Amino acid sequence: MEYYKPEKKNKTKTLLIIVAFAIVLIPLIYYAFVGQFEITGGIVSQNVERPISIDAEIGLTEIEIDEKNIEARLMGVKSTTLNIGTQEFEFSQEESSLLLLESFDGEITIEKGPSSQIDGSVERAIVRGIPITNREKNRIDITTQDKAEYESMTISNVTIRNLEYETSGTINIGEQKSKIEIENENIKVNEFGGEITIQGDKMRLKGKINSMSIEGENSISVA
Amino acid sequence: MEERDEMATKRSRKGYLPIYLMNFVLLLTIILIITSGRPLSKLATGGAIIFIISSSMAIETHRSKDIYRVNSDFLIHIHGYFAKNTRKIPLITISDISVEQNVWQKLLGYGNIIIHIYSEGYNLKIIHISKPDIFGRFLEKKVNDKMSR
Repeated sequence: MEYYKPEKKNKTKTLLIIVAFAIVLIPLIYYAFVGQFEITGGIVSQNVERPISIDAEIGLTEIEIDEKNIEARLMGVKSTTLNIGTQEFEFSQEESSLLLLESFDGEITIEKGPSSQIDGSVERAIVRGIPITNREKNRIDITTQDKAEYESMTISNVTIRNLEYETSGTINIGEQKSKIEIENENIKVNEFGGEITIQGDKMRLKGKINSMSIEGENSISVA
Repeated sequence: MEERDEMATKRSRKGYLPIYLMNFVLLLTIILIITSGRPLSKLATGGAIIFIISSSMAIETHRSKDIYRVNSDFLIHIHGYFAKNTRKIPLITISDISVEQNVWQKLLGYGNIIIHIYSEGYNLKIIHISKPDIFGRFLEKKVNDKMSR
């Protein structure tokens, strides 16, 4: 005959449910109020080693940047229509204005010209010296209707996983600043993190990389 | 008023109130984050949705684990998730029935029934059922009817 025993309170089960709830709720709140913690992207880039410092001035190429929390400073903006929130800002051909994007999340496409497509959101934008924010929400949307033309652009706190193309220029590598001059050679940069400055048809990469190789007259590999 | 021949009961959803509250808190948090324009983590939102759905399914499954049925002769206890074990307790072996409700259970209308069984020498506890006083009175009536026959 089967004996029925009164059901004991399962404290382990209760604890597991509470822990599962906390595991879900805490990251939700943290991400909304404090910052990002993306498990794949964040941890991968934080764990990526970038032991080599680089300061390179090379030819400009097309780059697509999809990042969070970067700062972009555009100087000499002209011939551009910019949508910030519900407002439209026109920059004429004769104009040469400053545009500053603080804590930008989104995509910036860099093209020769130089010009860029901007699509994302910012905590604050400064247009012609006037700061623009969204009073109701934390962030304000920003997009270029076509391409933004400018004289120079500096993007800080940016990451580029892989950059490979043929170019010319000067590359300073390492703390000792070993100088490498390249002329129409194929450069491959792996895991760049730092600042990019675009001016004219040149691009300056200043920051840290994981590795770099140059293929051309002289093959060089730095890792 | 027509007298019922049989009554069945199982765990009330009110006994799972803490879990329903957790689900409500998660949903409310997501809604507040969206309406305030703050960034919403896809990973955490996915986790929240999985928690809500799986906890709701787990509650319904757990409720079905124990079903109690009273008829004119037996108190029947059907136990199990997929494989069901049925135990029939003759009503004549039931010596005493008591209803147990703490303050919150009284407010929400659910509680426990403790059934004292002569021959086994232990108590059967039916926990977290809705309106335990009604089930208890019905069981008591059926026991009395059986005894008087």
